[in-house]
Amino acid sequence: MPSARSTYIVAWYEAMRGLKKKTTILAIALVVIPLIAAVIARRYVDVSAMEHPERLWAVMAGLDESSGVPLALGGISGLTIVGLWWLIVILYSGDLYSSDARDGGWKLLLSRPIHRSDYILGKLASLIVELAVLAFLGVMSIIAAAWIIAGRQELIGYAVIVSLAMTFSGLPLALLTALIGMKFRSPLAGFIGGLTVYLLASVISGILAVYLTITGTGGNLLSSGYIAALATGVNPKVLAQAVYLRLAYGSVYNPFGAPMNITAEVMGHTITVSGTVNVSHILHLGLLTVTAWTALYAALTLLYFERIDM
Amino acid sequence: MPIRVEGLEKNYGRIWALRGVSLEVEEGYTHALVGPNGSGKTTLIKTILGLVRPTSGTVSVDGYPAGRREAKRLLSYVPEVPEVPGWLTVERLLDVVGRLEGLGPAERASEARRALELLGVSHLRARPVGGLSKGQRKRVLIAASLVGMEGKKYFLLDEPLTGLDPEAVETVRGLLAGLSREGKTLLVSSHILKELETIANRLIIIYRGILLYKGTLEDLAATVKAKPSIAVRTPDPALAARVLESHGYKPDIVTSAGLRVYLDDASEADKILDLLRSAGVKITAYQVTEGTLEDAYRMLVKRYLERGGGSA
Repeated sequence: MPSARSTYIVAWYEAMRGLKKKTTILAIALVVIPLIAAVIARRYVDVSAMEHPERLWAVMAGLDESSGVPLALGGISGLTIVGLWWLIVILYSGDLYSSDARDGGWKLLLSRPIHRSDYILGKLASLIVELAVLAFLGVMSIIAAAWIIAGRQELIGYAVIVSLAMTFSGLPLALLTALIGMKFRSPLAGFIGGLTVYLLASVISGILAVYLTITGTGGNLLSSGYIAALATGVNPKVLAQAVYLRLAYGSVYNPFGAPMNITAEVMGHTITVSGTVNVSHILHLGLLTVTAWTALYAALTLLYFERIDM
Repeated sequence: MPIRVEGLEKNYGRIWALRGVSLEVEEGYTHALVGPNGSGKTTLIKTILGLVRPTSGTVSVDGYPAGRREAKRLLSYVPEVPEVPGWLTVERLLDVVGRLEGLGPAERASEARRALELLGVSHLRARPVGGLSKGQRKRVLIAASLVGMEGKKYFLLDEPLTGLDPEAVETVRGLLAGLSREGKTLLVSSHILKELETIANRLIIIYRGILLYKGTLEDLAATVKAKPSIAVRTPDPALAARVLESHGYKPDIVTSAGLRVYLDDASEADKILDLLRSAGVKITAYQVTEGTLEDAYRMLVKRYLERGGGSA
């Protein structure tokens, strides 16, 4: 049985290491850069053309849709922790276990009276806290940038829960990346492995989305996209979007503002192109799939780590 | 209940690091674990710690299976290679160890201070470990092994003297002797028996993963009967070796500076010198020595190899 005390000590050790990581400097830069960019951009952006300037933060975070938002603001979004969430997740988890394999950390920690499971769970706990703090800082940074550009922002009370959802939905990718790093005992292998998995999963979820739409399983094009992204388990933001949409719009979300239903015949299949998403459905499915993937990778990590030699 | 190893086997792919090793590490004694590089010493120590999983066989520490918290609580360890996370300062490293050993803040601070002073590295306390030399890191790791030592029964030290300067070697030898006097059980590995002759009272010899000997040092000398030898320095060791071989001698160690021949009796030394001189071999120096423990160890390995050992 894991010991809470030993797990806490490992988590504390990992948190200290996290503060010394170069990735932390990158993360701090990604908090500051959007603010500087927003100060520069504000004079060039026509706020009156925006449909919902008070929700600009959510649009910039990729959680909401709104017309009239200049595409150029996407550049600022791309330079935030939220925009680069997949990269942050990979960078923070690639060396989670592997750096200890390389620099003697395993021997230092595991020759003391702790169990291997204490080590894995302590590291995992620390990673979750680190990701949650980063996600929150990322969302707050976007809110501040949007406020600088478009003035007072609404729905910012959702920032905390969106951050937690980002953290949770980042866990499958994080754990898989950490596991790959551990397997090869190399942070670089972890980063490359995580990146490869993320890119492959993006392609697979694209193909899956088309398949679900053609067969009608996914309901419609937009829903199929969400379902496919959740099914692969490595999209670290889709659950955060579902949480936001559920909070902001209730059960049903229509990004086009009006019902849209187009039916077409493609390669002998009837396809319904609709902009309506059943958010509750996506949210429940998201919680289920992310939990399942996280549990699977955590179990694999524990089982694998029990067997290896140091 | 000592550390008990039964039928321990460990393979890394096709390489067998340990083959059927069974032994007990007796309480209160200092054990020299000796064998050449790659003989399985580190694997044995790591298996006792639970860092390496056995392929077959069992290891227990006071009845607890290796790797369990209860077993680790009794063990202190110094690794062979002084790898330590470079971002830690020396002080923080010892603090981490103290926390893991369950010490309170005051105990951690006082034990760390005492351990660093003992090893003569107090001045390094604020330095990041990554910036230290290999020898300094080794001393810091030995200091770390002393944090929480009150509750420790067994000290597993993997080549603790390697990489240390002569002054530090003496410090560590003194430390090991002190631990031994306190009644702690020590398992100290080295590939050089001479390093441990003066501090160990039990000897374990491992060769190519096989346990060759376990007993007292005196018993080894008595049973193996180490032979005396003559070491000859000459500018032409190859010629000297040919001369001796033509007279039925088998030079054991031939280097570019000279050779060593084991003798049945020390009186044969004069005959060897005469043979070499009469064949025109220039002798710059020579030394006749009685059989040492190191020689006994070498004889043991030689006999094992002559019996066809290690060919599997």
